[in-house]
Parts: sequence; structure tokens; C-alpha cells
Amino acid sequence: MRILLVEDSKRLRETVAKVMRRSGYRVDESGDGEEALWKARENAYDAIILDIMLPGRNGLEILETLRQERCVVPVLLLTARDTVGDRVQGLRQGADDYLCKPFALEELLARVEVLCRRGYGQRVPLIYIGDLEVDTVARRAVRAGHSLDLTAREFSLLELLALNPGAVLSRTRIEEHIYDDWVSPMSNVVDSTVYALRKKLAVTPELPQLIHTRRRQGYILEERSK
Amino acid sequence: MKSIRRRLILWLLPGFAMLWLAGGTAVYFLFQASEFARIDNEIEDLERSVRLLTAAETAKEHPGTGYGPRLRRVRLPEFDEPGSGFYYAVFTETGEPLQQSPSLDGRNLPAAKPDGGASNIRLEDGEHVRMKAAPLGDGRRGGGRARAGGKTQSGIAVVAVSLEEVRKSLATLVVGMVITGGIGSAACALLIGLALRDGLKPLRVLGREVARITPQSLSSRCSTDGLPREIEPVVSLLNQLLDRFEEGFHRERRFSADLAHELRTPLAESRSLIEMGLRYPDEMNASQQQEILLASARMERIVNAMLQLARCEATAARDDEVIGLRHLVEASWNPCRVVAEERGIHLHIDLPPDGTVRGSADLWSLLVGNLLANASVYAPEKSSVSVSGNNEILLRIVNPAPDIRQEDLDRMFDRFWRADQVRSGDQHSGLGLPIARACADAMGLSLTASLEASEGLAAPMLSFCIRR
Repeated sequence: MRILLVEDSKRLRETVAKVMRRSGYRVDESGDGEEALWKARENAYDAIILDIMLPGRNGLEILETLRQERCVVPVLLLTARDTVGDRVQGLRQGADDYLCKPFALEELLARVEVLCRRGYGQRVPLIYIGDLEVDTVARRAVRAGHSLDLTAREFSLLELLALNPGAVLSRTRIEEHIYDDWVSPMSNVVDSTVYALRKKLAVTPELPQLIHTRRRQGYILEERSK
Repeated sequence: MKSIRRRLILWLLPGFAMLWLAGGTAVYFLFQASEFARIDNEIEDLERSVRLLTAAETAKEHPGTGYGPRLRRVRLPEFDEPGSGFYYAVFTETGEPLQQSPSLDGRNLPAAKPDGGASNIRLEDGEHVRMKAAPLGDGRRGGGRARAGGKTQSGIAVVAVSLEEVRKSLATLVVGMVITGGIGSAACALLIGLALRDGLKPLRVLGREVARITPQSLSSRCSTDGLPREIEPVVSLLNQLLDRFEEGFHRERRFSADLAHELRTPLAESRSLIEMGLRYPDEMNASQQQEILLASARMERIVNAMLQLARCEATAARDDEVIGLRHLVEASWNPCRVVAEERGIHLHIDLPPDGTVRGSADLWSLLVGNLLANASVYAPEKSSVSVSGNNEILLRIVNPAPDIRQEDLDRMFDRFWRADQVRSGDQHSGLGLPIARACADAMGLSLTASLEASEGLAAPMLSFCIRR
């Protein structure tokens, strides 16, 4: 999942970004309103965490601009403004969620997960594809009763594929969602991750392959009859 | 709890009783005097009759001499009937009784000297009478004589009228006054109660209005419509008190809200860093611990600045010291010197060496220190800050301010206002200018900001002026 984190406090921004990255998110950071708006326009994010008091451009103005431009990416307002009026204004202006500072990182992660899931039309954290079960909250996958031992990046890839079942995901899109600014994706990084994931999904030799390659298009996760 | 009703009754009832007593006493004595005057007239008439009759009797028996062989009894119907209340007696000059009216019925009237006045006495049986003595005869000098024991003597006639009827009337009057006084007192107490209830009704209404005012509705005011004139000043003063309460409460609430708001970000920083350390212990290195310390230091600075501001706003300066301006500016610049030198900012002081100001040295130091700190941080690099003063403007601090707009001048003394609203810096809380203004206010000075065009420079000059 690719997240844009907009927060003018460098210390808080870096801490949250670090935790989110370690939780498997690809995180882009911004401490300036104008830059944040540019990034939101240029990239496809699964969710945006947005502070309100920002230099350059106010968070609410950014949100309003994005909504006017028909950008439907889920936005979580993360702010020190805690009055009912502030929350109502933020939600009415198009925010999907509102979290006041100080906050628990667990709660922030949970809310971001919900927002990301909602972006893919998923209401529950469990995704089933054939005999594969993906738990986006516990960040755990089970196939045919066997728990899969996945790295954070492998799980992120599986989650992205599972959230788009039957849809072809291009390498570019996968790169965008799995790798952040800090990890420069090599041209074969996606392929190698898909290869590793396929190996782990084949817990027994007789189980059918779930990740399929669509030549020159990308990858697709679906259960196909043998 | 002291009751107005009780206090009024305690004052008014004795007052009413005393007035009633004084009035009743006056009525009593006027009535008595009137009765005595009436009785005195009656006595006068009877006494005149007695004297004339005795004189006529004497003259008839011994014409031309004025002496009679014996004193004849005065025959008037009032004196004949026992218990009629009209009495007379005749005495020799030495006080020997010569004759008594039958109405005395065996009782005696005392002998008295004819001194012209009437007096009240009690007879042996306790009957009160008013009596008067007069010489016998027609009143001519030496004309009244009586014969006793074969010798002719001068005589005295004593006439008395019973006072029993008058005493009964007076007693009735007293009883009537006591009864009406009692009823009047009770009625007075009742009327006081009713009048108080009616008179204090606006106070009860006011009390209910005041009771409805809560910290959430401090903008409510007590209505003065239909209030008695006597209570209107109280309500006006109460409303003024509420104005001051509201202002103070608003200030405290804003203080709490501002403080909470400003502390949220550093609190979130600390919490996130600690949570991250707990979640990923390998991330918690010395650098992260230093970050937690810096976030805590920021919170400490904010709290200290807010408390300083609150103290400045809440108190008026009492000290009145003479402070050397030049020394004040130089001393206030010292803490900013490191930052200023790093940024290449030069301080230019244009103040007379003996220039002074009056007030609290601490507040002046805080005021000038905050203005200079502001200039040292926000003036463009390699620019200069100039400080001057004259008779009209005590102190003027000017520096280039390319980012300040005219509309910012109205808001720059608000708490936590920053030109770009950036909070990410640890060193500045946005409280320097509000503290400076609070210091000026506390000393009764005016601190204003203005933008001035500068010759040869694109950026306008931001000027802070302190005036009396």
C-alpha cells in the first residue's frame, strides 16, 4: 500500500513514516502543503495522512482541491485541532477519517488499514481467493491450512494482488505500491518478489498456482480451474 | 443567614410601637387635660355657687354685718344625693370642718388652702376626686366668714368632683390603644412581609437569572427591564462583573485550548517515538532518545512561555524604577547575539547614553528581549536591526520584514500566530509578541507594529513602537 504522509513536524513525520514502512507500507513524506498537493496529484496513493496546519497550503485547502479534482483517494486528517467543529468541517470537506494528536500508532495503523481496504471495496480484513486466506490486519496469509512465512514486501505484494482479485496489475503499479522513495526498484525486483511469493504459495506440489503472468501486461491473482 | 424580613421587622416593629406609644400617650394626656379642664369648669361653677349661696345666707340672717349666727347648708341637688360625684365641705381657716355635703355620705374632704388651683386626691374609700378650695362669701377680701363654737370666723369652701368617670374613660382609652396597637403591630408585621415579598420579587427573579448562568453560558446577562430603580444599579454592576468574568474565563479557556493545541504535536512526537521504540526496539537508538528529549524541551518551553504570558496578563506592574535604555537594549540583545551572528544580523543602537524609561525592570527586559529575539530570528540574513527612541516614542525597533503583509499586523500579537504558521521549529512557540504586548499593557504602555517602506530596499520595514 502506498501512503502519502503530510506533516510539518519533521520529528513526528519521520517517526510515523518509519513505523509505517516497517508495517509494510510504502510511504512518501511531505512537510509542505504545496509539495503535498503536487505529490497527491502526481502519484496514485492508497491513502493520504494529512495534517491541517501546514506551511505553504493548509491541509483543508489541499483536501478541498483534491476533491474538486475528483480525486477519491481516502484521506485521514491527523491534526491537533480537536473541537467538534474542526472534525465536522474536516469530514464535510471530504476527509474519510479524523484522528487527533497525540495518537497511538496502533490506532493510526488500524485506521489507515481500514481506509486502504475501503479503497478496494473491502469491508472486512479477510480476503479469500480459493484456498488462500489473506488477513490484512494480522498481516498473515494461510493457504490450504498452511500458514505462509512471508516477508513484509511479499505480504504487501500478496495483499495488493488479493485486493484486486482477477485484475491485471502492471509492474509499474506494483512498484508504485510496494516500493517507496527509499528503495529504488530495480527492473527485476517485482519479478523476483513474485517468484518468491509463488514458491511460498505452493505449499504442496498438487496445489494450483494462484499468481498468473499476463505477458507484457503484468500479474493477476485468481483461482483457475485445472 | 440574615433575613432582610427579620431585620426590617426588628427595626420597624419597635419603631411602630414607639410611635404608637408616643401618640397614645399624647392622646391620653390631651384627653385627660381636656377632661380636667371640663371638670375644672364644673368645679368653678359649683364653687362659685357655694360661695354665693353661703354669702347670701349670711347676709340674709345678719344684714349689713356679713356675719351669720351659723352657716347654712348649701342646697343644690348635685350635693344632696349620695354618690352623685359632686361634693363640698366648709372649713374654718384653721381647718376645722363646719359642714359637708350629704353626697359625701360620711366621707371627708380634706381641708385645703385656697391657692386658686385644683388638685386630685383620693377619698378614704379610694374614690378619686378633683377638688378646689375657695374662701367663703362672695369673694371679696375678708368677706368670707363662718361661725363655729359661738364665734364668727373666716371659712373655706372645698368643692370636689369625682374623677371616676374620667378614669374609666381614660382606662377605656388605654385599653383601646393597647388593643389597636397590638392589632396594628401584627398588621404592620404582615404588611412588612407582604411589602417585602412584593418588593423583593425582582431580586428573586434576578436570583433565578443568575442561577441559570453557568460557565457555558457566561455571555448571558441579567435583564434590567421592569426592575425597580433601587435594584438597577446592582444589576448593572452584576452585569459588569459578568463581563469581567466572561473575559477572564474566555482568556483562561483560550489559554487552556491554546496550550493543549500547541502541546499536542510535541506530545504526539514523544509518544510516537516511544511507541516505535517499544514496537521496534532496534529503532530506539541514542538519536531517537535525543529526539524525545528535544520534544520534551519544546513542551517545557511552551508551558513556560504560556505561564509567563498568563502572569503578565493577570497582573499590573507595581514597580516604578528608572531604567537606562541603552543598557536595557544591550542586555536584552545578549541572549540573541549567537543566533544573530550566525545569521549575520547587526544591531544598530541610536539612543542617547543617558536616556531612561520608568517601570518594572523585569517587564521592560521581557518586552525588549522578546522584540529583539523576534527580530534576530525573522529579519533576513545579513540585515540590520535598529533601535532608537525619542520623547514621543520611548523605543522603536525596526528590521526588514519581506514576509510580513499589512493584514498580518492585526494578527501578529495573537497567541501562536506565525507568519507562515509553521510549527515544526522547536525554538519558537509563537508567544514572543503576545508576551511583549502583555508586558507593555501591564506597565500601561502601548506596543504597536507597522510596516514602513524603506529607501533602496524591496522589503518593507517592520517597526515596533513603544509609547506611553
